[in-house]
Amino acid sequence: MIPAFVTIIAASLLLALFSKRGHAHQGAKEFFTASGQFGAVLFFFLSVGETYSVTSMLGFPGGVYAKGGDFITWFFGYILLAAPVLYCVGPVIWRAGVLYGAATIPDFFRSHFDSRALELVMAGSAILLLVPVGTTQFMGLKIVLASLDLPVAPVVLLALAGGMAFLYVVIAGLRASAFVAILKDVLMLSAILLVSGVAIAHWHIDGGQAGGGQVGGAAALAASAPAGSDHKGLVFALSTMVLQAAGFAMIPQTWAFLFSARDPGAIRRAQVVSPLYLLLFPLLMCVAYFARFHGLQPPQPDFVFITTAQALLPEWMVGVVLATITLSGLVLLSSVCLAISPLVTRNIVSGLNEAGQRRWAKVVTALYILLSIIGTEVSGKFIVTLNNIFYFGIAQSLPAFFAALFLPRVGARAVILGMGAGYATAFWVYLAAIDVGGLNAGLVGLVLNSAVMLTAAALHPRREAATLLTRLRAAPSLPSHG
Amino acid sequence: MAEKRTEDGLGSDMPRSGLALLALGLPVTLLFGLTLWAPFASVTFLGIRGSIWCLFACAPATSLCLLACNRLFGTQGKGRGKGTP
Repeated sequence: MIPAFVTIIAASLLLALFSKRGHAHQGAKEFFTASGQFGAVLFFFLSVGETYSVTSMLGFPGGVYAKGGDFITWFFGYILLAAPVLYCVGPVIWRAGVLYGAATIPDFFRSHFDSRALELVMAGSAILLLVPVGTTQFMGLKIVLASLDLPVAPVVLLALAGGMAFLYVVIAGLRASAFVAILKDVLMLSAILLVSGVAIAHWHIDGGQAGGGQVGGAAALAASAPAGSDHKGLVFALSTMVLQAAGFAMIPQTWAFLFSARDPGAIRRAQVVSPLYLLLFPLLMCVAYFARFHGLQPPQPDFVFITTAQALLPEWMVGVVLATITLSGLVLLSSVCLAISPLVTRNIVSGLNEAGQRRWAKVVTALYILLSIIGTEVSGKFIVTLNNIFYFGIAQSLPAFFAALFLPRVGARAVILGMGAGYATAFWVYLAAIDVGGLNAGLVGLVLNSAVMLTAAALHPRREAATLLTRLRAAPSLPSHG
Repeated sequence: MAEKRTEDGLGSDMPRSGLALLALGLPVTLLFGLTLWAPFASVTFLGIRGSIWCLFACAPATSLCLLACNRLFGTQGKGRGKGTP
């Protein structure tokens, strides 16, 4: 098990080194966004690397195992709808990035609204929200690394994993993430097909014995599954789908990926294929149901995929599966590090030159990884809960983006007031467990956010302003990122 | 090579209302419809309700929808949308 695991992790490091070939001298934009040189294929792998991380490989089957029906609906639904959202919005963001010379979300908002204060608000809130993402990945990695049964303290293994993510970032920035993502996706596809395939094959053999007859046993499981399609559950599922799919377009690393695309056509082509990747979800679901049906007892729900792999596969193959899940966490970690670093080095601290941005990006990356490991050690929360907090926070910049697109009279002050109201409401509703008829807390915050922003804009409209679309029309033909 | 500008002054790859309606509206309608309608809820395969299997069919359907959008509205030529002024 260990040799297979180490071989794959070492191969990923070699791939990261290979990605640097021909790009030895990287500027800040090359480092953070690969200077807009990725075609549809590399862009696709990079963006699915973000979507299908530890949360998908461990959190999704874990959630299915523990919660059932409604969980599947919203988790699958929001990732599916994110593809058409990015298909429509992606080219706009790409062009806005070129127009303003932006490498981050706050770059765009600062330039469009001509406000340093808004840049700081956007950067600060994005940084705070990205911390749980690192924690989420390390929580998943902790589960995986514990399964290796090494006589080493878990925190040391986490530090080693953090060191790997740091190396990817230092070696070649976003380019390394994209290349490692290819290896990760090939392995992930194989691992899910293998575990689910073997599970389904064993289903027919063992199910009849353990379940008192295949049909009867399966029907009993379906009836006992905690699906709970009650009214509130349905409202939550639908509202979460909408919020998180729309919020997907406002994730800082999504913007970095969009800016890495060679042209808007590459973004579109990748989104056409992207939904097909979701066909892995029924397979992950089968693994979770297999574990329930056959009485496998994972120590925690999030262990279910690994527990099933351990029950069905030879040891060396389990090593491959564990390395694959580790890679899926590391790829996302490295891309989050590359999203959070420019937020600090370009937006919070302004005026750093290219070399300074790259140098400080490495310091920020190391600090972020350290903070995420500490978060993992002190937080025992369920992975998917952290995922929710991230999305209902990150979606609060949506009204500002729509204002930039369509509402010329909305100024920076109105946007900041709206975001403040949105954040406060969303977190209050969530933390105080206020009953809003099952609606996602983030959506409630989003409604108040928009209302406050529009009211403030009506009272103090921005003068001499134009929408993003107007500015794009007025701009000469645009060059690509870089 | 300078990119071609459309009549409204935007690039040919920028979303228009027709594209947004089709690319967003169809998958949303399909997904919401199947979630609310929950067809074949009483049928199970591998212990999983038929309605959930139907939900997963939205993935290839969305892909087809976006492919149709690309054919109807999108740019086909690789590299269009870039180019120096």
